[in-house]
Amino acid sequence: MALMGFSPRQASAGIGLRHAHYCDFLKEKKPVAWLEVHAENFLNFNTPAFHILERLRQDYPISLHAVNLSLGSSDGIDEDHVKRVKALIDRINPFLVSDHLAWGRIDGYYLNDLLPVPYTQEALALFESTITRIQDIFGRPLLIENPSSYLQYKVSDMEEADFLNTLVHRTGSGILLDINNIYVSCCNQRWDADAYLKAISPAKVKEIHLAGHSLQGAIRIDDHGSHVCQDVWNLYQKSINLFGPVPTLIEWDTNVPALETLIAEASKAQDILDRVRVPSNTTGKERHARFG
Amino acid sequence: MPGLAKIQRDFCQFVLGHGYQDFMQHIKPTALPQESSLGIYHNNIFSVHSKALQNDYPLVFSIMGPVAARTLAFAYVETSFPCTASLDEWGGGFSSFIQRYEPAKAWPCLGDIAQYEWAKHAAYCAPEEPLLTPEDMKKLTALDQEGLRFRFQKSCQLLAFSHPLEQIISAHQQDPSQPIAVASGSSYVLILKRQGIVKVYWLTPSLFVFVNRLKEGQDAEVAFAAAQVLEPHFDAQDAFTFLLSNPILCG
Repeated sequence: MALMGFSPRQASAGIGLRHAHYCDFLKEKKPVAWLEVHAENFLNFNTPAFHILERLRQDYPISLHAVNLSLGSSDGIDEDHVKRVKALIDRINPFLVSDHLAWGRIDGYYLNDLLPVPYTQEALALFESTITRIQDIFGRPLLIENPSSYLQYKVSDMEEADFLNTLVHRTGSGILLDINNIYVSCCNQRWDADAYLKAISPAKVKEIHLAGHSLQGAIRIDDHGSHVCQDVWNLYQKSINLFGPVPTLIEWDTNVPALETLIAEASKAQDILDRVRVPSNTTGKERHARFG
Repeated sequence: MPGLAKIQRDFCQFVLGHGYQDFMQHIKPTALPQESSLGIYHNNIFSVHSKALQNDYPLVFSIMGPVAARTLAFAYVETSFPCTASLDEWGGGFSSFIQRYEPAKAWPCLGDIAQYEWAKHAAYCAPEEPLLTPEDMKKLTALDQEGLRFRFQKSCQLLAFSHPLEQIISAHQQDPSQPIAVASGSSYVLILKRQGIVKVYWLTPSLFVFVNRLKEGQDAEVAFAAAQVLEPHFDAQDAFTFLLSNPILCG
């Protein structure tokens, strides 16, 4: 299954659409290249929130970011939920659809968090079958986002980046690379962030997330509640050098500031995107796969 | 070697506060303090559900105050993890949980307020249909009007309470810092959504009975008779004016 190509406009910086900014967006067109929304917030087409999304999609390309497909759940897929997300895709026609390398449902109960999976062959096989089935239902590829992690399992026998690479190659899906998550996980787990980036297949990276995090004692918490920190900007610059200009999202979910603050963060990302050049050693085929 | 399902079940039990040791056996020791790092997942899970409840039940949270409300929300989450992927559809059992939850009895009307807030949320989520207009009514012949029944908007919620919620809510909104004096008396409310906005109408007991009978599918004459039992001078003309001048009935 081929990934959709991106227009140059879409290989730019967008922001996550949050409830606090609905009125700002309805009042006038904002200098934002694209918007990302959480799929699970718009599954009911009767709500005013959905009608606002329908209106905004006329002005902004939309990326649909699911948080509850629970791709790594040993329960397998929740067909009803997957079909509701598919119905939303049909209504909104997003240019990207994504979820996480995580699980959040067990025995039919949703824990509503992005919980870590052990990186084992069993988990790999489960993800492969779940993602393949969901992509069949959606009729399009998914992007899979690397999680932020606060623990490691004893049974894991693969590195996270290798697991992700193998998975996306087997399923034809793409990678949504969350740079803040890499930074948080690498700090927490004493991994090497540069090595993580270098292990990722460049042609598979189709979107990037940037966000803020906080420090609680020795632990970095991925809380999306502040500016992107300088270390993460530096890592982003390295990523763009490696992967080329990829659509980049500013996420801000807690202590949501004025829209102008988010737009300013997106402008910063846009400046980095605009400065990057396609690496000279990129082959024509790779270049096409990256930029469409 | 434990399989994925075993690890995920143990994770779930750990989150619920049981089986810490069972889950710890799966975790590789790292430089991070393990209790703190595992606590992040526990806190995230409970906080995300607590925030979802706060969105749907802002008055309950405001009346109780943040600490007591969070404790109540966490207690509810422990017993009622969602079976749906959409948090918008979860939390309907909160009012009945409040009625059973001993520490919430310090706020006697809290269960009613929660029921009122969930009705507003349900109205917000409901579809909207075309309205019945006075012009539609004029087209009815005398024959049509016999045994006349009405179809209500799907968002329409009718609730009766054993506390005077209108006064309680109004008093709290005017000065949230003051404790609420729970007066005696009942209250009756009709809640619906039109053009994306949730509207609230407080009704008299007789109008409530009249509208409720119509909503249950009984004809206008039966509804009128029931309202007259409560209020012998109940005015059906006024009641129909209320129904037709507000976005309540479907065309």
